[in-house]
This record gives sequence, structure tokens and C-alpha cells, in this order.
Amino acid sequence: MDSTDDELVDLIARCTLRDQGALKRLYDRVGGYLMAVAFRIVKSDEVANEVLQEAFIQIWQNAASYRPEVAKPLTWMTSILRYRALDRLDKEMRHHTRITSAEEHGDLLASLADNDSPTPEAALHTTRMNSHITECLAGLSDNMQASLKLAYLEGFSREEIAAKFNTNANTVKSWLRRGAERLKRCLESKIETTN
Amino acid sequence: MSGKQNRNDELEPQGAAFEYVAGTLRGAERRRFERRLAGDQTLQAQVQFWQEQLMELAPEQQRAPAADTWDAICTGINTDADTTSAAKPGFGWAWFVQWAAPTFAAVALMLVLFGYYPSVEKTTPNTDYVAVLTDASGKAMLTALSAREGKKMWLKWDLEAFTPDTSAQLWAVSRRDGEVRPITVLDDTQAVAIDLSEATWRLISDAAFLLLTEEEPGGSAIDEPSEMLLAKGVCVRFSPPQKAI
Repeated sequence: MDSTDDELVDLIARCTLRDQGALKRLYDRVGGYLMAVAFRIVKSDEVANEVLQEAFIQIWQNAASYRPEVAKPLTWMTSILRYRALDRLDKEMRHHTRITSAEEHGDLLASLADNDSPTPEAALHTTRMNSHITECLAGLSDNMQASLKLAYLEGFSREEIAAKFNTNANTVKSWLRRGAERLKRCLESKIETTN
Repeated sequence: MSGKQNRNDELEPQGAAFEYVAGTLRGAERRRFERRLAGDQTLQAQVQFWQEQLMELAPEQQRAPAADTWDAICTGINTDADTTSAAKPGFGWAWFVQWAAPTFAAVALMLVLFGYYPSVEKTTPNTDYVAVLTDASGKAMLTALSAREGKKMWLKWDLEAFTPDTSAQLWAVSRRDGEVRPITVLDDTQAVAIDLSEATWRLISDAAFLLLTEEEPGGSAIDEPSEMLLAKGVCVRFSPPQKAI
């Protein structure tokens, strides 16, 4: 666990003592990052702010259940935020609007490829680009890679991805699941080698 | 989703876990998965694996939240306690508020007494877990602090004495499985520190809260707490474990 993780864990622990100052420091540290994650999924500043708000309330409420030996603090908080964002997509069913909106901002698939380049704003997890997942993902077919990124990063459903590739949702499901199997094998072998 | 797809997901939990984290399980399919996830530790581990791995894909971008978002969060957390405390019985939020409010007040006092001073700067507390056990009225009866280093639990008694010819027994209620397991038997309120075995330390590090019960001399013969609950308190962790337990 690095010092950033230690600090975040400490702040989460203090939230269990109802220390709102600790929550504010958490918000200052990771709010901008989580806001960017939420915006990419819901494609609306207004909704992303609402999702961020819901996520921080849940972080506050669930701080006592956080286990640092099970999950990194940023992973835990990001997961909470992502599931709240997905709740919102389920609730609002803005699928068509979201795709159209995203396409207005350029070629989404091309922008996904750009994500592999470090950004000037990089402040968290600086070693990510060397991660195993990046290497293993490169071994998947283009369709599998793009499907995963559209789903995970952009909040696309199977149906939305299928529309992008002019195929059907079952094919996308098959891409995702076969991709997951290959990723898992690759990741496990790399993790084993590292250990 | 069709019944055939349900069966496929049951046979193929790894794929479903991946899609859950990736975000392509939606609607009823997602809710079904979450119900299954709640009681399936293997599935939880798979979800955790993918959460940790896919996190690495997220670009390190920042986007400024709206200026009023923080205020909305403050409003949410300050009103939430009022609205949810009446909604959930048992060991939910209502229980937490009932027992934890005096607990946290007492914890604040104990932090001062035991020399732990939270500050904005990073600190290295020498106490890993604290529990202030209070009676039904919220009055502190016992404060227990434990540290992995040295494997000790320190006790600060506010309870003056046990009922004659009885012992008290301290129990840990597991956060993981809800089981109640014994920590130690106490014959009087003079004990100020107890040594913890590795097994007992694990019980404490996994504890959602601690119970203190009145038992026959020598402790419960059946290894279960009696109905004579003297006090209970939320177990609060102050620093992360140094390594996985």
C-alpha cells in the first residue's frame, strides 16, 4: 500500500467517527477524479454532480464497512460511484441521448485509444500505464477491447455497443465474456510471475 | 432476461461478475446478480478482482464538480441520519445511532486520554481498534483499545463492579459472518490489559462490535453469550492492518 492509499484509508477510517472534515479532505483529494469518471458514464454535468453527491453520501454511510485489506481505497470509492452512475442509467434510460451526445463530441472509439496516453492531470496511480491489464488487453481482438472500454469507461450497455458495431447484443455479450476469460488467464499468469 | 440466460449466469459466474463490474449487467439482470452477490463470497472475490483490475483502465482525468455539490453532500449526510434512523431496525442505522452516538463521544474522550491526537497531518496511531461499550442508556461501561503491535487490549472501566458471584465475558460479533465469538472472561473490573492471541486478534480485527455479558463464574459454559447484556459498542478501526489478515 503506497502513501496515497494510506492517507485515503486514514480519511475513510475517520469518517467512521463522523468526522466531516475527513470527508471534505477525501472530497478534495478524489472528487475531481470521481467526477470525471461519473461524467464519462452519464454524459451530463448535472447528473454527474448528482451521482458524485450520492456516492459521497454512501462513502460516508459505509465507511465502517470498508476493509483496506480487501480493496484499495480509490477502487472502493470508484466502485461505489460507478454503481450509482449505472443506477442512474438504469433509472433514466437515456441510452439514445447518451450515444448521440457522445458522437457529437467526436469519434468515441478514437478517443478511447487516446486514453492509453498519460494525461497532464495525472495525479493518482501514476504507474497504471504499466499495469498488467493494459498488456493483457492488447492481446484481445479489437472488438473485444473496444467493447470493454465502451462498457467500463463510457457506461455503454450491450445494446449500445451492438449498435456501434452493427451487430446484436448477444454477440457483444459473447465478446465480453470470452474477453473476460482470456483476460483472467493472462492476468493470473502475470500476477503469478510477479509474485 | 430469459430463464436460459439466468441458468447460464449461474453456471458462468466469472462472466457475470466481469459484466457486472464492466457495467453491462443492467436492470433486472443486475439486481438478480446483486442479490446473489450479497451471499456468495466467491462471487464477491471475483467482483473484487475485476474492480481492482479494471480500475487500471480508467484515465487519470479530473473534472471539477459544481460549486454547490459539496454543500449538497453535507446536507445529505446531516439529514440522512434523521431520516434513516427511524427506518431500519435491528443492527442497521437505528442501532448504530442508538449505540454509536454515545460511543463516538466517549471515543473522542478516550483518544485524548490515551494520547491519540487526530490532526490534518498524517499520524501513526498506536491503537488499531477502539470500542466504547455502553449500556442501554448510552452510558459508557468499558472502553477497549487494542493494538496489533504487542497484541494487547487495554481496558478502561466505568462499570464499578460485577454482580457478586458472576463473571463478565467479552465477545466479538463478526463483521464477516455475524457470528458471536468469545474474546475473554473477566472476573472483576480491575483488569486493565489482556494479552491477545493471534486468533483473538483476528476476532477483534473482524469485529463489527463487541459485547460484554454477565455470565456464571468462569464464563459461559456453552460458549454463547447470556441474555444479560451489560454493554455493547461499535468496533472502530483507526489504522489499516499492516498486512492482510
